[in-house]
Amino acid sequence: MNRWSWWLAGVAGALGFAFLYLALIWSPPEQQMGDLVRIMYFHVASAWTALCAFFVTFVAALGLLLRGGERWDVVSACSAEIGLVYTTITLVTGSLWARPIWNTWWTWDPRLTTTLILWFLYAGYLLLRATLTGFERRAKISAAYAIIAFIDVPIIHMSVTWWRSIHPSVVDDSGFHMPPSMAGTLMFGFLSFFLLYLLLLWLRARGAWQKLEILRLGQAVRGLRLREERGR
Amino acid sequence: MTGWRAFLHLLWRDVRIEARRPQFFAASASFGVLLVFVTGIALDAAEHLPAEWVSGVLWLDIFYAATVGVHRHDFKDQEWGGGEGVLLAPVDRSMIFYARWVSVSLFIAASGLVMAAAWFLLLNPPPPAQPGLFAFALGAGALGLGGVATFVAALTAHTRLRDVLTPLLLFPLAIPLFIGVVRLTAYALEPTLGHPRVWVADVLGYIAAMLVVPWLVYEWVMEG
Amino acid sequence: MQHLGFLWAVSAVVWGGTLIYVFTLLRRQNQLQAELERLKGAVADWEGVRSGGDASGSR
Repeated sequence: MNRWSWWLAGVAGALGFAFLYLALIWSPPEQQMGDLVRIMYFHVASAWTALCAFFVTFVAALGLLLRGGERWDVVSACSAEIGLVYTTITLVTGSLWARPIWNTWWTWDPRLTTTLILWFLYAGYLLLRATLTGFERRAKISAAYAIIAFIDVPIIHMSVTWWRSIHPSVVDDSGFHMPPSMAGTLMFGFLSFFLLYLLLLWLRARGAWQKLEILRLGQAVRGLRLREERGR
Repeated sequence: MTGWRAFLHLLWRDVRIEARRPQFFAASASFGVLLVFVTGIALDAAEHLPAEWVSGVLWLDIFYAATVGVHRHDFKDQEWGGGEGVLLAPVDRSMIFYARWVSVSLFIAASGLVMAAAWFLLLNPPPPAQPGLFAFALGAGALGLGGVATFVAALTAHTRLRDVLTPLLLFPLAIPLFIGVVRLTAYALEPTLGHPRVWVADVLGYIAAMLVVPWLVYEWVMEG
Repeated sequence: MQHLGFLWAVSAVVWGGTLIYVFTLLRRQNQLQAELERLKGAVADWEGVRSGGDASGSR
């Protein structure tokens, strides 16, 4: 890690602690949910961060196809992985929130359903990458998939919403209007999560770059050995 | 060769190959009927399933049968040595995609018809009150499924886990289509459920998206 | 003030999950870095051996 990333890590850590304080202590409890409303800050912030991460994956995939270059591919893949981590956090915290509030671990609420589909979409993306052979091919094919998957997300959300709203719905999640203190906490949480995301993206991309470097060096070593054998 | 003629040529070639060797169709259709039969057992031979459930069962079986069969179209190309030749042909790559799409859709529609017949016999759904809507659901479902399956099969062509990955990628991508055709089929069976227009729009929108987006990226996929 | 256990569980999942992810990333990168150093060393050795005119190629 270089000096910049330590600074970034320090700021992200400080913001994280401030966010914990704001979310758990400073912000007011809600009328009906009481203190459980505090789950919302973590849940919603991670959901937004995940969406941002997938958007970055989409943009990087476009960049790869239009401009070319390994960097786009690395960013696309790393962002998808972090997005998947945040989607997992969103799903788990959502479930932990739904249990005390709605008395169930899972409901077929449109947003929940879309999030789970999102999880599968990007888990599929990472598996696709992991099993594709050949560098160039892996970059191009996974970029094509990333573009289709991201464009599909709003269609999925729309269809799931229609599906559930036409049906009688057990849970009414029309939402509640937030006082400024809650909205502020939420925005602060989102910012601190987003900063963390940037840090993770940097870390993860560095690892991916190291891996590429190792592969190149390995090839160089093999080439040298071959030359040596021929020279003999 | 113009794009349109290339499309017809490729499509005709696919259909002819399929007709010359009908074993694959026989195997797929039998597997589809078997799926319907096994679903009947899983549901404890229920006599009267609600329209929503029974249409969900039909489409689950059709989707599953289609994902199991979709790779076969590539093997066929390899067997006949035609795959490489198609790539060398001086036509827009997307024409290859559209021709493959239509031929796969025809195939899915044909085996879907056989499966629907078995479904009527074995699971005993009410006869469709709106046969036109039912036929539309079958046709549009086959077309949309053919499109997404063709695209996903091209993506997974060079992966090591192809058999598992294809359905894993296909089902999440196809959720809007799946919900749409299940709802449409349910309404065709029981019009009191209402709101078919939303689902017609949903299914047509999905097919339109499948028409445009793969066209944009298919060239890269084929190069890869 | 009911079910506060869920709130703690959520906090633990969020921060625990993030920390675990960061540590796996760091650990993986340290391994990669070590591997990278090893390979670089190997290449340097190799070139050193060649330029030194030693053709025994003991590596």
